[in-house]
Amino acid sequence: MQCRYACGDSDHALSRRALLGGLVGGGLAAGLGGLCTGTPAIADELKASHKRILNIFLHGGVSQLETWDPKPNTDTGGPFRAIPTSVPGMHICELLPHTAQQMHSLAIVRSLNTKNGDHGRGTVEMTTGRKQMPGTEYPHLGAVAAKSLTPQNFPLPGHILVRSGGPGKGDAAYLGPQYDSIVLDDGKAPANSERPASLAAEVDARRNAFRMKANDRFAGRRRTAETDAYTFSFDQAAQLMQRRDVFDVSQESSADRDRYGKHDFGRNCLLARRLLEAGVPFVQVNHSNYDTHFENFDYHIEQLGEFDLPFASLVADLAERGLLADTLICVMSEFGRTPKINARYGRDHWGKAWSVVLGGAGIQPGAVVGKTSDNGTEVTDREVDHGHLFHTILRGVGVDSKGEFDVGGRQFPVADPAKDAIAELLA
Amino acid sequence: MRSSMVRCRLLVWPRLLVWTLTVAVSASAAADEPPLHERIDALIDAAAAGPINPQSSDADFLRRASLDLTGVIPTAAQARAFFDDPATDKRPRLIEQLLASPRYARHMALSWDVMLLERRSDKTMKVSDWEEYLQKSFSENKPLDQLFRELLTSDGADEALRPAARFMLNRDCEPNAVTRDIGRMFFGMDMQCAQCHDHPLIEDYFQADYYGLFAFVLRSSLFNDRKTKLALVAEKAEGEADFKSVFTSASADNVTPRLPKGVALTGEPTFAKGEAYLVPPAANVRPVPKHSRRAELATLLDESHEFRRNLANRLWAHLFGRGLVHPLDFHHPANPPSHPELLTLLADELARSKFDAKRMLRELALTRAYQRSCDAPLPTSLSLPTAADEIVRWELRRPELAAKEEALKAASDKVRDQRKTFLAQLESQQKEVTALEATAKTSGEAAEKALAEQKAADESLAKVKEQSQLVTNAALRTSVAVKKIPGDKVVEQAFALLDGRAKALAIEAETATKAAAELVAKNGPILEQAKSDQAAVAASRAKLPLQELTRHERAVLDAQHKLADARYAIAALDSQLATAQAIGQWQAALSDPAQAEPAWDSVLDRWTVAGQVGRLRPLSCEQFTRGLMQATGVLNRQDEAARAALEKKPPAELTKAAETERAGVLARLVEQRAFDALRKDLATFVNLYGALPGDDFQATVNQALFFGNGSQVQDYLKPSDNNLADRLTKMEDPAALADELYLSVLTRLPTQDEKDDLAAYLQPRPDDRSAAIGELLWALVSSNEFRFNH
Repeated sequence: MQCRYACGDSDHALSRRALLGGLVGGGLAAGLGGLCTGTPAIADELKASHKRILNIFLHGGVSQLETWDPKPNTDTGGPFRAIPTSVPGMHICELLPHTAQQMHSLAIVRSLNTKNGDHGRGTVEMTTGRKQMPGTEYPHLGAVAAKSLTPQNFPLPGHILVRSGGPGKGDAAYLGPQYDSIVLDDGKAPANSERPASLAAEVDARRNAFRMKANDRFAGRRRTAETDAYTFSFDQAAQLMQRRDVFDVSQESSADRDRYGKHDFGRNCLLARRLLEAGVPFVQVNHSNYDTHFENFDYHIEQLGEFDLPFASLVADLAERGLLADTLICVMSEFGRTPKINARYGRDHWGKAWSVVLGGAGIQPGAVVGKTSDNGTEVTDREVDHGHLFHTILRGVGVDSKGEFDVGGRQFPVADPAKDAIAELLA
Repeated sequence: MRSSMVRCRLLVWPRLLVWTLTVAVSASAAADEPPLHERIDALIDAAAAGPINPQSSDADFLRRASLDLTGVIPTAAQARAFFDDPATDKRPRLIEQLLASPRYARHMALSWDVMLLERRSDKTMKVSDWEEYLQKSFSENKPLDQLFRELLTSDGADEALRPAARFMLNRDCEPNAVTRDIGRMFFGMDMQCAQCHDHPLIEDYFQADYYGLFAFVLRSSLFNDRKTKLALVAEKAEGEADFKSVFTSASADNVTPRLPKGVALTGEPTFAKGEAYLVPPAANVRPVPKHSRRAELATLLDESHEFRRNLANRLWAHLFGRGLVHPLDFHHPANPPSHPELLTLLADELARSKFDAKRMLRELALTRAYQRSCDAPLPTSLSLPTAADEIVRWELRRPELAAKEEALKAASDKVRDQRKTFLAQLESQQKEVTALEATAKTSGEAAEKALAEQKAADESLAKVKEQSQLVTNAALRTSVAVKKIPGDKVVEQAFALLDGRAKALAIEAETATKAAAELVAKNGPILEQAKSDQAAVAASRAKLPLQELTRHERAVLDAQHKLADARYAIAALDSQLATAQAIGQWQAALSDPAQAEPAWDSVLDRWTVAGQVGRLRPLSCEQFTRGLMQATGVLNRQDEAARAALEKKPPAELTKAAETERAGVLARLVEQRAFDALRKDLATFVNLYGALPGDDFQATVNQALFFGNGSQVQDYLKPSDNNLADRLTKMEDPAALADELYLSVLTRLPTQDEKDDLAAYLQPRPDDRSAAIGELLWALVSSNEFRFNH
């Protein structure tokens, strides 16, 4: 009795197996990329589509009331108005006037109940889609995306974090260090991607030629997928160094740089556009300082004032350049903020009823899923959490979130098997 | 649904993991028995389908054994000495030396730290305390079962064993996290998915198995001591495991603690109310029960079939880079060992040697299988029998194996039936106990009531007596007044009143005394009855044949283990046939290189798993980093610095050591200091290269960038202080330079071609010879030959 409870129907099982074939192939090829070393049909299909994910992480816990779920003229609503957006009937907070004009490309989930008000826990749970458990680590969304979406022989890293503050390295856990995030601190190129001044290019080429000759000799003794993978990592490093300009945002036009803004977040969004254009499967951009226990409203004017234009520009540019169909956008936080306004005009940590935004690849444009009560104190319709969100994001980019990864012969469910995607949000 | 689950479990029971080892085999370990390593080789040779690779070169053996037993490669000087040694026993002697080196304990401590904590950090204690605990355990060759027991039982309060509590504390003592990792690391069974439902992919892992283990640890929790600020393990005396499947209606309450696929914990002591604790729970107090389920689990480890097999398999994997059962965390019937008899032999020998890790590693390292070359045999050099002949040869064995399986199946069914009969009998006895308990409960309640009545009667009697005494005394004193003040009406009246009352009270007291006595007489039989009912319960309970139950359970497990071994033997035969077929497919494809190459790779893979060809395996992060430090001379420089410092200012530990011990103590202290000095460097590499055992090998672009451009590696390659680059730069003769370079980095002498290449590389660079040498050094440390264990 093989109890495959999690994957009942046969069609589903078939496609999962096909996918697993690909995953296993990727494992055997020991690092020659993610999915695409298996069945050629799948490889071609994925290569053709080049799905990507952009995750914007608003660190500290952005207020849902000052963004995606405004409650003006209620006891909890605060001073801001709700404004109409490019989607008839959809309103968001007036602090996001530029984003409001892009909502026809985006969707809002207003019914998150993540039952948590701890920063560390929220960061882990939102980015791994799992309940945090002592002694167990789950891979970051970026690692799952890199493992599943990186095309074969792709010269750039599959999982990139652009940060000026906010959460650090995205951990690949059991998927292995190949899928850990490459961190671009303050928008700089990856660590060690620049050849030291003491090492001329031709010298580097010479020593590498000597290395390769040694490898060729050793291959006469024994050659395995693992020795190939090790050799390939050096080739990949060389390719990355050649394409280092991908990380150089100064190569974008000055008009664009002005449009995105001269601050860190603006520059990082422009860098994200550059990376997504280069085909990087997962890019996360952090934006910090949303932990507004004091002066919530002033801080949100300031932070969202920085966020709004570059984010809206990025959405518009991706749409205009035809990238939005293949790029899933998510705007998340570790949690939202309390409807109750505290004595210092602040809002505190709150995971009970808050919102995230999704859009692009595989997502119904202009959709609104879920509802909160009139003053936002509880979810009244379609309650979901980080687990559902994780499934939805992966499904949006065509990854079978009910499938499994095969790591060294051990199977790991891609996402929390007890959860599923928010079906009505999927296009 | 529940019943179908149970049925399904009964079906798979017989295919439980193996326990072939009989008492007879165990007892037959006579002095004339061949040494273990020879018995291991005999089993591998007998299972070989196709040729067996020759032994590795001295160079490969030296490098391999040094990496596997001490975690570092040898120095050039050690390599030269080993190559020049003409003695035939130099390999066993080397193994002995390596096992005696302080680096043995260091390497084991590093490997087991990664295995037990999986590179997670925590702030529950000083990392160095934990490291020292592991290192000391391996340096003293602490029996492995004891080490595992300590991980379970240490609560962190006892100073000496505090570090062992890190296993629990690192997981916040969260029972599910602990259950999962005990299942994996102690028993080789990752039952995590069975937390919420029977395992969806492994038909032998049940939710009931998970909760059987969970029941041992669910009473434990994390306790933060406010005064000492220490994290400790607390345990309660109550709390039972209940579960409910999220998929089916299966559920159970009060799950009996049970080893995974092993015996249940029977006859747990019961305590009267308030008696269950050594330290009862209270606010800010860490409760300590009299009966600890975690301690019970620890005492049961030794008799667990799965525990022995898991440890044997892990020690094998430590030296061979892959378990006989692989992945290491998935022992179950559908994942048979590659060499079933071998795993059983190792598990038994491990138990017989009292879990002596060093002895097992020594024997494994002495095998021809371990010392086998990993070079791919040249297809053209092999004379292989035809696949058809091979298949016939293997198939000849099948009838015997099938007959054995059938006989063992019958034997297993028989003991299972016996247990069933016994359980039915036990159940009726248990019913009797239950009935007696009910009677005893009724009579007990009656007795309690009677006692309460008696107490009330005694109390009112005492009260009346006291009143009577008081009034009698008052009357007496008043009578004196009557005498001394004759004719005083008021006094006389008072006396009459008091006297009357005293007499009435005396009568009341008499009545109450009588009533109390009557009550005692009446209650006597009631109390007697309750007492005898209690005694009947105790007697009936004592008659429950719990030992017999354990005997039946063990008989069933034993039969199942034997049957499983028989089935694994058939699986192994199928695997040999598959190898024979793979050889046939390769032979058939010889004319077409496009097909022949993958067919040959598949044959080679099968031979590697079968131990016929050595495995080429990536170095662990620690081996790679410390190997790099050794090759470039960084390690040696730190050793020398540590030695100089210790000689200049010897610590008490050294000066107080006996003359004969001093060299050993010094070596240990040097190793410790050098390790501490390079700790930060190692952490940098771990951050980039630190994988977990069992993970697929991954080589990342981050690593390659770091290795190519990072300052740390560049520093290692710059000449300074008699490091390798420095020594090489001072060498004039390119041939001598090549020897030193290759011996230091690759533990072998260069071939003539390699010498020529090196000379050609240096020849046009007289002006920046040192830089050119650094480049060559980099090329070799970044080569596959360096990155892999061969």
